[in-house]
Amino acid sequence: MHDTTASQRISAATATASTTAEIVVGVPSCNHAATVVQVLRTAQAGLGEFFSGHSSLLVNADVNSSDGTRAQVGTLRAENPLLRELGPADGAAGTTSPGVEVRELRMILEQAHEVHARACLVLDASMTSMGADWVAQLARPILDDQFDMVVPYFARHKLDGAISKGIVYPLTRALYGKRVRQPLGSVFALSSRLVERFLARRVWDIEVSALSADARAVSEAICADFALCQAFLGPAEHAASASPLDLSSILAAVLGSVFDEMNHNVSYWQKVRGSEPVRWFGTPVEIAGNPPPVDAHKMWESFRLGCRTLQDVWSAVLPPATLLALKYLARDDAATLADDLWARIVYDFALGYRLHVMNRGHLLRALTPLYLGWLASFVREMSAAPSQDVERRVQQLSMVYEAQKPYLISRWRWPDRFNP
Amino acid sequence: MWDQIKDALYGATHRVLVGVANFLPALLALVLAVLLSSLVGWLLGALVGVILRALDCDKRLQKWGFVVLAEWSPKNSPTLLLRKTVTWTVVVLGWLVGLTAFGAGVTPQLIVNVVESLPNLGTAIVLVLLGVLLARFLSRAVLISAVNMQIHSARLLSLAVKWLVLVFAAAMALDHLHVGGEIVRLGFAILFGGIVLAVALAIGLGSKEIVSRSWERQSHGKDEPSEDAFKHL
Repeated sequence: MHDTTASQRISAATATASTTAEIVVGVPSCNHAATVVQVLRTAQAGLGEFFSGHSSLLVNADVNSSDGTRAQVGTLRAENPLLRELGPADGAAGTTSPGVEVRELRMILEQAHEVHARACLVLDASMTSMGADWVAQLARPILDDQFDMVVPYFARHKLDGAISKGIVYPLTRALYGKRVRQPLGSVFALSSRLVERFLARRVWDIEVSALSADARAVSEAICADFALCQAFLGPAEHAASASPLDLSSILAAVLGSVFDEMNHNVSYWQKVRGSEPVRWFGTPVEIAGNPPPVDAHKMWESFRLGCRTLQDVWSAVLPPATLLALKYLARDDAATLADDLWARIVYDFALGYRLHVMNRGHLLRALTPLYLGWLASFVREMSAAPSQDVERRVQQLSMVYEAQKPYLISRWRWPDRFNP
Repeated sequence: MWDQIKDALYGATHRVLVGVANFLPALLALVLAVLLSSLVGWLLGALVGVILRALDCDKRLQKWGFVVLAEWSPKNSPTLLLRKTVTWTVVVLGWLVGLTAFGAGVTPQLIVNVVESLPNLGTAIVLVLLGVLLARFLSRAVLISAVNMQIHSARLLSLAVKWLVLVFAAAMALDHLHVGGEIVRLGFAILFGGIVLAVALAIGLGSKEIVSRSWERQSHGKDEPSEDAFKHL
């Protein structure tokens, strides 16, 4: 539903400002007082260094901050009159669940559309590692090479981002046929065509967590046949959140969006076979420092506890053959959750989500022990391997997801009849 | 003398025969009412059975969590239970109609009492059904959350929550029906308190590892690998 109040606020804010800009850099924020100024300054520096000959606009959209974020941005605005703030006119803070910034995303897109921007960049207000060159890496493929969406690839420790490695990337690749390596980047760039498309389709009108807003954008862009590319950026370091989410909440938020997109785009992905690479821009960056230690034994114990206790819940989703395989795995401390079994488990949960076999929140949270079982296997196998081998392993897992896609399609079409 | 004996015999026989003659139509009415109600009950039961089988009632009830209903039903089929309930309800109504034909005063009063208690019975059944649904939802939520928090007594916690809600719903239903009175309230209070104590013990004993790990981490610093440092996303 289009937020007319937000539009009125945007109009009031832009009454005295310029009406066109080639590049819009938007920073949605919600209680990011500690980091938003740094991000805005870095973005401003990037625009000045790389796009001094282009007209540009720096925008901060903030509706619900209650920690003084808007005041911080206000002081920066005194130094930089071209910084535009979008938010409630009366200054009153609302209440919102942490991380929900979809209204701010929409406001930025509306602003980009209003000023006829060729490229609209969306940055992350919590990112402390942002470099000025990121603006160039994100905007140039759109301005110079006519791409419609630039998805970032952050330098990470080899085992970090396990949800993306083990579920989101292989699933997105198998479903939509595009090898977008990090669909959950929290930073992206859009062309004017794609901005119009997102506004017209109201991509973020339904409530979606900011954890997965970009995954929704990626799948929407792929299904509408827009040109995507990826850009190497540096490491992604975020400021610690005041109210961090636990693992099961993160899984529920991310996979809820991904599975919703599966339901929405079923007519597209059922026809896709295989996958193709997506063009890269920039130079890969190696991350320095040692990775944080990971306790694979504890994860495996969580998996075993799940196998002992959640059989009744899992039996509503997983076929008997899978349940039996999990039972055998749980008996062995050194066992490994095989790729094909893991892929089928993810597909079964996607199907269970679609069929509403139980409350969806319960269903997604019940996946947590299984995910920890897969992660424990992955960590045991890859903890001593170099980064290139880890990346090869992820690609191998993705090919298994593609190979198991006929299983998904059969179960999706005939959920009652096909039950191995 | 013989004439008086004959008159007495004829009089008594006449009275008995008149009594039987008055009784027979009512008896025949009762038999007819029972036969007709049995036939109608059987037909209605068959119709209800066909409709419920077409709606896949057994599978849906199991999916919605009414597993107990299946366990208590003949041949584990709630459809069969409902079919038999409809049939026997119609047969009992037939009996009541047949008994009324005898002109007994107590039968109409019985019918009035039964009809008057039906709304309360319906409300009580709704309370129990809502209690079952809520118990299933909450017990599953507690089970999954406890497993994700690595509490080993997750199943016990889940069972305790389920029975807390079921006992509460049953007590509300019985109270609504004015069955048992103080005994039910007292029994519920004792049972509820017992379950709460069991849950408190389970949480205390089950989470002592989590608490001790948390204390160790605080006192020794973050030497052990912390889950928080690993970035899943």
